Amino acid sequence: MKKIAGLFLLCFLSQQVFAQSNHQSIIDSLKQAISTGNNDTATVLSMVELADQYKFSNVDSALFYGQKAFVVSRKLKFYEGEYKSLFILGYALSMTGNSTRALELELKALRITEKYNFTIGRGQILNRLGIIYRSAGDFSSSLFYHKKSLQLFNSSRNYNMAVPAEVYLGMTYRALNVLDSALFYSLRADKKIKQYGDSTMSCPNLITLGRIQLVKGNVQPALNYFQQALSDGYLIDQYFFTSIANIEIAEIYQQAGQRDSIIYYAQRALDDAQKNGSGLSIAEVSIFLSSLHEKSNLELALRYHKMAVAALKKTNKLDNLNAIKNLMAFDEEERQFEMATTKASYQNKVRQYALITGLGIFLLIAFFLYRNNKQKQNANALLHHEKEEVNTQKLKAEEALSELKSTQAQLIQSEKMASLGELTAGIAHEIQNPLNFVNNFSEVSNELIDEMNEELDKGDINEAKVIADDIKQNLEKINYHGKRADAIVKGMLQHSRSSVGKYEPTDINALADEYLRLAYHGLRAKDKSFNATLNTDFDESIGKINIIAQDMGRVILNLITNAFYAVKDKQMQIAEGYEPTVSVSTKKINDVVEISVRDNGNGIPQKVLDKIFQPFFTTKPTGQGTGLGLSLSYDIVKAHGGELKVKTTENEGTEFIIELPVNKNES
Amino acid sequence: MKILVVDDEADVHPLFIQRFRKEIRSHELEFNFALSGEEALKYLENNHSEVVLILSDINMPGMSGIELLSRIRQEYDAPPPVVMMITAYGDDENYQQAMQKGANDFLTKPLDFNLLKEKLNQITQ
Repeated sequence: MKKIAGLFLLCFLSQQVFAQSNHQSIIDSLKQAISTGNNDTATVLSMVELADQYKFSNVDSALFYGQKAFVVSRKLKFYEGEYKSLFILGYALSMTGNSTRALELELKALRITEKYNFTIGRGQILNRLGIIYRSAGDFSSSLFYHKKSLQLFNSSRNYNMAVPAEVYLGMTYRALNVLDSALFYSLRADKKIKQYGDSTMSCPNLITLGRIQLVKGNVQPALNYFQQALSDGYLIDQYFFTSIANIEIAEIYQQAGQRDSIIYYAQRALDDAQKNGSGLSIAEVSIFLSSLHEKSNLELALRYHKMAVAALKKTNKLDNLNAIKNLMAFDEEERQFEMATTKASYQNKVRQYALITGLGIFLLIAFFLYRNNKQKQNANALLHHEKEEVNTQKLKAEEALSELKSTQAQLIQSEKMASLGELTAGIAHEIQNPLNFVNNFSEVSNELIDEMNEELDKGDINEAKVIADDIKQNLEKINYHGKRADAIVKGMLQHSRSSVGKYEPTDINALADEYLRLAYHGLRAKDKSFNATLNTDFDESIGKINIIAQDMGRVILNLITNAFYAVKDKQMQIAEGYEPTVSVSTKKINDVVEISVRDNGNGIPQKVLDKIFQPFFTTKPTGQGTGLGLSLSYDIVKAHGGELKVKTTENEGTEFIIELPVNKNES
Repeated sequence: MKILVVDDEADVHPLFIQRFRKEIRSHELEFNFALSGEEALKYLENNHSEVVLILSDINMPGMSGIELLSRIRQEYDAPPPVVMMITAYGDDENYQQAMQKGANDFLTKPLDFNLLKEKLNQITQ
C-alpha cells in the first residue's frame, strides 16, 4: 500500500486527474492505507495523496485530509509532509476561489522548501503561485513566479521538470495577449514534451497553442490543436483539460453555425467536467449548453440552467461555510506551534538579552554623548542653512511680485493703447469734419470782407451790415469747430495718458455722446459695410456729476465698442431683416445716475456670463482683444463707488448699466 | 442746375450757401440739403427728375453714403444723376468702393471748393 501511495505522490503536483473508475479505487486504497497506518510519514503522504485526489471533486474532503497531514507532519517534524500538505491545502482552497488564503498557504509551503532545500517541491510551488496569480488576473506576478520556477529547474539541471513552467508561461502570455512570447514558450514546451515523452503537460499546452491560433484568426490550425489536445488528454484521463478543449471546439463551431457539432462537443465538455468533478467547470459548461438550447428547447435549457445553479451552489457552500470552518483546525495547530516555539526560544533569549543589555548600555552612553555633540553641530548648520533658504525664497517672491506688478502695468497700458487704436480712425474723421468748416468758413469770410468793402465803397451800408452779420456768424462757427477739434485731441491724449486723473464735475451726457460717435466712426472706418442705428436718450436733469472723466469715458467707450462688436457679429450671421441697434441712455433715480448701453446682438451665453469681468477673458479671436476691457471697466466703476451690472437675454441682446452715486464723489 | 447735398453736419448748409452765394444769386445753381441718407431718398422720391447732381457724405449715422449711392443707382436711372462722394476718409479702399458702386467722383474733406466748382463747370458745359 505504501508503495502505491508513494508512486502516486510522484505526480500528485500535476493537474492530472485519473479516470473515474481508477479514481474511486485509488481513493479506497488510500483510505485503507491511512486507517491501517500508525500516523507515520508514509501515512502523511497517503493523506496528502488522498487530498490531491479530492481536490476537484470534493474540496471539503481535500481540506480535511490536507489539515490532518499537516498536523501529523508537525508532530513528526516531517518537513516534506509539511510543505506537501500546505501545498495541497492551498490548491484545494484556490478551487473554491479563495485565492488570498491559498496564496498564504503556498507561501508558507515555499518557505519550508527554501529552508530545507526541497528543490523540486519549491519549483512546483512557484508554478502553483504563478497559476493562482494568473487566475486572480495579476499577470505580472504570475510571470514572475513561473520564470523563477523555470530558472530553478534549469539551474538544477532538472530540464524535464522545467516543462510545466514553460507551458504556464505560454498560458499567461496568451492571457496577456502577448502572442509572440506566448508562442515562443508554448512551442518550446511542445518540443520538449515530445522529446521527454511527458504526456501530462501535453493537453494544456496544446490548448494554449490552439487559443493563440484562434486569436490570430487561424481557425483551422486552432481546431487541429484542440483536437490533438483532446486525444492526448483522453489518453491519460485529463478531464479538466478535455472539458476545456471540447468547449473551445464547440465555440469554433458556434462561430461557423454548425449546430450539431456544437451540441456534440458541448455535451462532451459537460461529461468531462462531471467526470472531473470541478463545480466551476460544470457550471460554466452547463450555462453554455443552456444558452445554446434557449431558443430551440426551453425545457432542456432550463435543465442545464438548474444544473449550473446546483454546481455553483455546491462550490459557494464550500467556499463560504465548510472550507473556512474546516481550516480552524489548521489555524489552531499553527497557533499552538508558534506558542511552543516562542516559549523555547524565550529562555534562550533571556540569557542572551542580559549579556547584550550590559554591553548595550555602555555603547548607548558612548553613542548618546557622541550624538549629542553631533546633533548640536548639525542643528546649527541646519538652522543656518534654513535661514539662508528663507532669505533666498523671500527675495525670489519679492522679485516675482515686482515683476507681476510691472507686467500688470504694461497690460493695462496695452489695453489703453488697443482701445486708442479703435479710436484713431474715428478721431481722424472727427477732426477732418471740423477742419472742413474751419478752413472753408475762414476762406469764405475773407471773400465776404472783400464784398463788404465793395458794398461800403458803393455806399450800401445796409448790404455791408448783412455781410458783416454773415462774417460774424462764420467766425463763431470757426471758433466752435476749432474748439471741437481741440476737445477731440485733448480727449485722445487723456485717454492714452497713464497718470491718475482727477475728479471733476462732468457732463455725463456729453461724455457718452462723444464716445458713442467716436466708437461708431472708428468702427465704420475699419469696416465700410458696417452700419447701425444709434439711439440716444439723455436725461437732461442730471447736470454735472463728479467723476474722473477720462476713466469713465474709457468705461463708456469700452461698453459701446463691445455693443457694436455684438451687433456686427449678429449682422454677419443674419443678413436679412436684422437692424443692428445700439442705444445709450442716462437716467437719474434718486441719488443714483444710471448710464445704460444696450445692444440687440446675440446676448451673452449663460456659461460665460460669470467670467466676463475676469481679466484676460475674451470671446474675440486671438490678437483682437486684450480681455482686459470689462475687467478694467469694472474696477473703474468700483473705484467711483458705483456698480457695473449686466442684463442679457440670449438672441435678444445685452444691456450694461453703470450705476454711479451722485453725492459720493463730491469734493 | 439742381444739386442735393447730403451730410449729417448741419453747418454744411450755411457753408454751401455762402460758398456758392454768387451762383445761387444768378440762379446758375440751386441747392437742397438732406441730413441723412433716408431724408435724401425721401426728397428724391418727389424731385428726382429735377435733381442733376448729388453730393453725399459717406460716414453718416443710419444709412451710409455708399448705401445711398447704391439705392440711387438701382432706383433712378432715367436719367442717372451725377453722384459725387465727399468724405473725411480719403483712403484708397474708400475710393475704390465708392467708384465701384457707381460714384462719378470722389472728394475729400476739408473740401476744396475751387476744385468742386471746376468739376461743376465741367458738368454744366
